[in-house]
Amino acid sequence: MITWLLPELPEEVLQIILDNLDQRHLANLAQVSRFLRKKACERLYKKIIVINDDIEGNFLDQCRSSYLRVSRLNLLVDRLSPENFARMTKIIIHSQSNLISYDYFPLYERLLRLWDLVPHHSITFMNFDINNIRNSRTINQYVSNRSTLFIEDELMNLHNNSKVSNLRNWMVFDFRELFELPYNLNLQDLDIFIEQSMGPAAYPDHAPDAFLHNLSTLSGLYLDSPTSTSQFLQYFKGSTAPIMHNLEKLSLTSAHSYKDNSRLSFSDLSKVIDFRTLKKFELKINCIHNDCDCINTFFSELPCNNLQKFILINYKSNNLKQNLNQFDRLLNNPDFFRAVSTVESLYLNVNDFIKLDANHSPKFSIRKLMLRISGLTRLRELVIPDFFNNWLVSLPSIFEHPRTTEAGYEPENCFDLLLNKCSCVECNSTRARFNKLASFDSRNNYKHDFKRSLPSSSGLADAYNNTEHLIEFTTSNVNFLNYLVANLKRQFIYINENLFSINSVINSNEKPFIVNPELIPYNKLFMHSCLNHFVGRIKYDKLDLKLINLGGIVIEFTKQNCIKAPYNV
Amino acid sequence: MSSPKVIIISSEDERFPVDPKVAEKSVLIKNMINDLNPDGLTEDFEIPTPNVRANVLSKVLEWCEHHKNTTFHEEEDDDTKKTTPVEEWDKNFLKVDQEMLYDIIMAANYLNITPLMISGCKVVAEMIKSKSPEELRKTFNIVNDFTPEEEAAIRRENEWAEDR
Repeated sequence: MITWLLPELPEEVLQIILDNLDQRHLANLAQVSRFLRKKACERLYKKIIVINDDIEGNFLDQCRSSYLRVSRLNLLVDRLSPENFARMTKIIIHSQSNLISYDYFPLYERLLRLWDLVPHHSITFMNFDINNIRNSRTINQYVSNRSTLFIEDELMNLHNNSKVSNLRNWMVFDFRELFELPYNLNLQDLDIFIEQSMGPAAYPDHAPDAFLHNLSTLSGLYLDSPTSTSQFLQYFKGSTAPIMHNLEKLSLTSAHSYKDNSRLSFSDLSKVIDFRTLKKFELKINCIHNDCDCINTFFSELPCNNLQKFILINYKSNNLKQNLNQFDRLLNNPDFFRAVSTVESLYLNVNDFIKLDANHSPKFSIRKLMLRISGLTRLRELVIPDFFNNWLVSLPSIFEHPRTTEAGYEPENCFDLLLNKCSCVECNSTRARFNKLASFDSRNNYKHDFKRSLPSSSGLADAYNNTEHLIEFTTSNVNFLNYLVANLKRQFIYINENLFSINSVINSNEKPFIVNPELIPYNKLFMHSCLNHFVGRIKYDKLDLKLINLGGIVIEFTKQNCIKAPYNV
Repeated sequence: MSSPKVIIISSEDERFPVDPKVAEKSVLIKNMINDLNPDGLTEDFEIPTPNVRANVLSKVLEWCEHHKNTTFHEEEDDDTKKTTPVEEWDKNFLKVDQEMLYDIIMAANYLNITPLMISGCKVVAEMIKSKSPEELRKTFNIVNDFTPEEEAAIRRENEWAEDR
């Protein structure tokens, strides 16, 4: 007998039910009644991420975003009602114009029209489509051009830019553009992305009030290129007190090159930014000078503060020896870890361009890194995207009984350690599968096209259960491992894509991490072989540590400090 | 003398004596016991639950009894709540008619037994997933308050979201 009504459920119960529905189920539920339409649309429209058509996998997303494949964008643009527009807080463009150029002007135009109907609705609109940004206008440029009113008979331009002030974030390509924008009460985040420019000398001496007002209320500043950073700091060189009082998130890009003012100096920075209010700090940095210690010097000057999230990236994965040496010194420097001792989230990416090969030698010691990280007592999240490229090779050093031979201490081969240490049935059959695929791929000129000639995975596992399988250190096996490592990293696509231009890890918790379920058996093999031990050593007494991401393997911990599925022991 | 019991009283005044460990699966009851007996229970403790019927209460207590030794991850992050499927025992336990499912969810909400409430909600979500809008109206006794034109328009407005 039918006895109950969804609308009569307490709100918190209804929300838990909705938590468990995907967007297509919400779209379906919206067709049932006015009440359910409201509830479903509140979720569907809140935050929309536009993605490329070919993205597959499970989206790990703390924000419960809705995803829109770029080829279906017109469906949203044509049919977006003022009511649903009013439910939007954030739109993120993550599709990439590579082979096809995408045009977002129809979307901008639609938003302009909707602002006529819902005049004061402010949204965050982020566009990470770098080719689109380089070749076309940003939304703030588009909206600003289309909504500026010129009153010529008074011989002045009156800015009627209320629509551009409905954007909570702007992206500008030089300071002149920024100087022309109005004071925006809603402005929270500002990206300055100067790829080539006329230089600070061409800017007027006196910054307009609106510009200074905007800076003083800003909560996030992203200086997306070395030029952006050096020009920004040059412009404010004469400043006597920090002008940015509310800044919580700062992303800096700096390359110490032969250009003037390219060296990042803390004293210049402190003239503009009050580090005491900063919660999230991202530094994309490199240095090409021999015998320079600019990165360490920067951190030795950085006052102890209340940073919650810190992101360190070797800008453009610069592989010069002197640059890597600076990073090595930094990661061994207790002062550096003291400066970031309060962090809850740490993201370290020193170099993820390197491939594993026979000549791979350790530049960085994971043993030392582990020791330094143990001092970060508040750590909740540790992300090391270049784990396999940069750190794996030194992993044998953390195991307590290294083999000793007549020649003396001989660290175990990291390849063996990663692949051949566990003898459980599951790992054995994963190794059998690994060997089979690696040799298939080598015969097939490493095209990584595994779909055509594979028996089903379960059949394969059964057939190989009875013999012991090991993975030998051969070219084809190393290539296949590199292929797996590359696929593991592809899961970071929305977090790391265009990181050396307009993307930032600062807001990574708002973006999905895409789990590729096909990799899980291999991840389990790595975990069983050695990573369980490594992860256990890092976790040790850190009760707050909830997540470790090693090159794309996401290891999460329960409240009881056990590893969550699928890697639970 | 046997150890003290918690006696939970249904809306019909039926009495359900249970071990404190079982009753304390309800955060509401646990807090009541702790507030009124800071030094621990020395004698039987009665708790009336005037809006829970006996048949529902007995079912809820069956769940508490089964899970008396289960540690639940309280305040687990939202992602886990969403992604982990309903545990097999709970799934079978909640194979009840809709009225009972509704009453169990409401009782779990009132008594503050979050894991049971979440399991119940997940079962409801599963019911929603497999049904068309018309079937949903039938199942949940919902009146279609759209005009035919509106219905077509709403199908169109959210079409962009239908492929994931």
